[in-house]
Amino acid sequence: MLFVKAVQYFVFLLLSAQTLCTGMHTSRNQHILRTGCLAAMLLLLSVKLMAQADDKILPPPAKFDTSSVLQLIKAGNSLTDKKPEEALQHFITAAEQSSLLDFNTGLALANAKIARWYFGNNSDKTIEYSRKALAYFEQDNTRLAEEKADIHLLLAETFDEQGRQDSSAYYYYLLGNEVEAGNITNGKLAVDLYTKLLIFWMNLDYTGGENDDYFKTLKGYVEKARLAAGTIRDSAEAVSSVYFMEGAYFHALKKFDSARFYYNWYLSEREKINKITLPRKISVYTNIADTYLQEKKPDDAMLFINKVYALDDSPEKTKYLAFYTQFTNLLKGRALFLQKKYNDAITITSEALEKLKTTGSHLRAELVEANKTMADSYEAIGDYRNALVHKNRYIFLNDSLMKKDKIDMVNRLEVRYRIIEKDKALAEQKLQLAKVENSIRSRNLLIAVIALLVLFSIAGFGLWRRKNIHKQRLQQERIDNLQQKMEIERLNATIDGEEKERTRIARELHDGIGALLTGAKMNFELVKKSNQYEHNPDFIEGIKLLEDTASGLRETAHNIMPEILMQEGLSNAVRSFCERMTGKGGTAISFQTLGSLENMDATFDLPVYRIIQELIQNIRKHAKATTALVQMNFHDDGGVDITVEDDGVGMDVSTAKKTNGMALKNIQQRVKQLGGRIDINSNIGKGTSVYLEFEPGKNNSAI
Amino acid sequence: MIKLAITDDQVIILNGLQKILADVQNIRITGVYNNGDELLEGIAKEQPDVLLLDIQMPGKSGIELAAVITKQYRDIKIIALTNIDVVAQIKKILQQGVMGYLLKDANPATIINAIETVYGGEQYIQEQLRQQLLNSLSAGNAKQIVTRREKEILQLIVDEFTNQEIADKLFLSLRTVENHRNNLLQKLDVKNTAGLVKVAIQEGLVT
Repeated sequence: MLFVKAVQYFVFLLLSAQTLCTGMHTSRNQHILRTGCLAAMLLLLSVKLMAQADDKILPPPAKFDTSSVLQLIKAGNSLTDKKPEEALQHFITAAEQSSLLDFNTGLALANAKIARWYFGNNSDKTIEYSRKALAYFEQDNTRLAEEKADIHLLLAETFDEQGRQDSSAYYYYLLGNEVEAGNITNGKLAVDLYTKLLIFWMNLDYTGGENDDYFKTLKGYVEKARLAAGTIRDSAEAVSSVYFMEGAYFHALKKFDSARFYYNWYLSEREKINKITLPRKISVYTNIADTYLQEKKPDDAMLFINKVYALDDSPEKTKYLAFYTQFTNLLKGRALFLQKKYNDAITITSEALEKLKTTGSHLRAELVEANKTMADSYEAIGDYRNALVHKNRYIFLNDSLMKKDKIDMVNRLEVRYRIIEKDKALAEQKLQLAKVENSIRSRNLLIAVIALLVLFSIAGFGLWRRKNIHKQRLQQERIDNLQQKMEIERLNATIDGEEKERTRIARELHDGIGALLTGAKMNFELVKKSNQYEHNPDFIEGIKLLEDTASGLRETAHNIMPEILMQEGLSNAVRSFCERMTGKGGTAISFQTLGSLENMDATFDLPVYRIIQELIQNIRKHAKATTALVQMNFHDDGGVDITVEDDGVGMDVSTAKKTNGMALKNIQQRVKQLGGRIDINSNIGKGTSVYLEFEPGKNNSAI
Repeated sequence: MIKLAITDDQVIILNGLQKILADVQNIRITGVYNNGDELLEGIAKEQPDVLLLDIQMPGKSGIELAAVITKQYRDIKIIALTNIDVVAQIKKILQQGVMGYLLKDANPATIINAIETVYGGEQYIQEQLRQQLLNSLSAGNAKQIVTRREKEILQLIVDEFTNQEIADKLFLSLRTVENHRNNLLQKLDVKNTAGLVKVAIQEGLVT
């Protein structure tokens, strides 16, 4: 049929072309032209034929409609795990067809699926398509609350993946609100949501797992998920999800045996009902491997890492699950490092890091850890230059992660703040109700009472009303207290975060870079000995420089965060500081304590230590004193008073405040913030005496 | 021949020490360990004479390890190897029966000297630390000094001013004056104002 049509076409075209050509050209070049025309016609014909062939393959516009698009998406869905590339093609086609049909729901759903598909492969693309899907949902204005929630969840996860916790947190709140507003009735989605929330909060562990509240929050999600799972009729799948959450919870608690028990239970339950997606399987295996790695059992970890590899290695899937695979490789690198196969560890880790660059931007603890693995491995094989490169990279990333942590923390507080605000709103509502109730009741009562006994009623009513006013006042006070408590808590957490950040930086400087410097120095000492460089001034100077750098580094680390304070407490830390300063020459600083340390309020430790440090530095810089005295008296009620006294040049206190005194002013301000008192007593030529006093329970400030 | 074991979680330090000690005639390295568990396992098999032990390690800390080892293996002489130069910590470590104390940046000669000294049964503490220890011991015994501000207040007490009057006179809070007074009671080891006045005059703290 097609062929006959083609021949007809050919003949027709040939004839008309010839007519056209002869009609136009009568020159002697006619022959050549005619040949050219023929060729052109042939070309035209073939194009036409091909176009017809195409028409045959593409279904005509009438062949697809909204329901076939939805079918296509459904088909793609079921293909996702087995033939990911084909599934993607289905979704793309569905999107194109929807666009031709102006079918917004289809566009939204298809884009959502594409976004979901790219999760695990390219985080940037996931975000791109999620946003498209959301935009279509907006236009669509349908009530597909759950599909929308699914995209919000995906975005939340993806932003988390990229270390953008602020954006991530935003979507998690959105979801939290939806659940609480009752818009998400699908128990399965709710369980899924709680699972993701649990993981999100686990990644936000800024306390290093020392905080009870933190574990309470985690446990809370597990319980909520259990409740949600209970609402589903066919609940096997959801119930097993709760096992996964239990596993994750114990993982965070560092109870690895229990964690593995639940993870395995989850796996076996899911396999029973044959409902486990590849990404989930991988994440369970890698989680189990991680528990072993944390216990420093690389061989056991390796078993589960290999299980991930054994799952499937067809190139198609490798691409679809690109970053899962690479994160698995990072774990393998860590395991190899623990097995002391340093070269293998370096190879696989660096490859994985390289490949991760092609799957969007990530900022996760694993990535940071991987750079540490690299640094440690290079160190172990003696390649200090590369060790340093990765150490630096590690510090940089860790720093970013820390900054991230800080944002996270603020976000967390925000959540708590909102919860408290809700409580507050409730209290306010109650207050309003109480007011209304009071007014109604009082009016009714008034009439009745007047009818009965006017005099008696006035007295009684007066008393009763006072009680109600009192009740209102109590409610109001509760609201105010709540708000104040929240403010304080927010402030304290910010300080905590800051201190923790400092501790980490200090430790990294001290233990990381410090050790490298010491190692370098040892090597140079060896060179000195074996080559008889003892009398080479340049060489000796070089070693001296290394030593100075190392001690400078240690001092910087100490200034950033005096770790001795945590280990030995305020009194010993100050004593040690005085000894060290005396050891440096200049003013001899003696130290004495009175009272007992037992009840000391530890919140004063760091700020007070810093103030004393600064006072002593001031003495060393300006006072020209021969001796100085630091005295601490610890009171039984947890307070402390401190005297720092020197026999130096002294100053005129009234003018010092104006001229000399940035440092002094600074100290005064800090003491004030701590709720303490300061008394500076000095005369020119007669030394200076600074007295500080702190009472317990007054410290609620940010230093 | 001194049998020596080294424990440090930082590979770079382990390597450095091994290199330094490799061609010392009378020292033979019998074990190199990365952490406490490896160490305990290792010395159960081959017992060294001297152990260089890092104090700050993840997992079992050096202090814990020292306590265990000095109890179980009385013949092993432990040298603490650390970056900590805080007197309070040094004391804590020495109390565990540790024989030597070295900073990680000690030069090779010092390290070798320390190993030989503790092997000979004597204590070895790096020079600058020994000085710090001595200073802190002598400081601990010194008599407590009365500060200038306290003397001023003592004078006013002797002159029969009440706490409130002193506070007003010196622009201090009552609580501050009470704190100073309490400090004085503790330092001069007396129970009340009468005692303060008596000792103040006896010791010539007031005019």
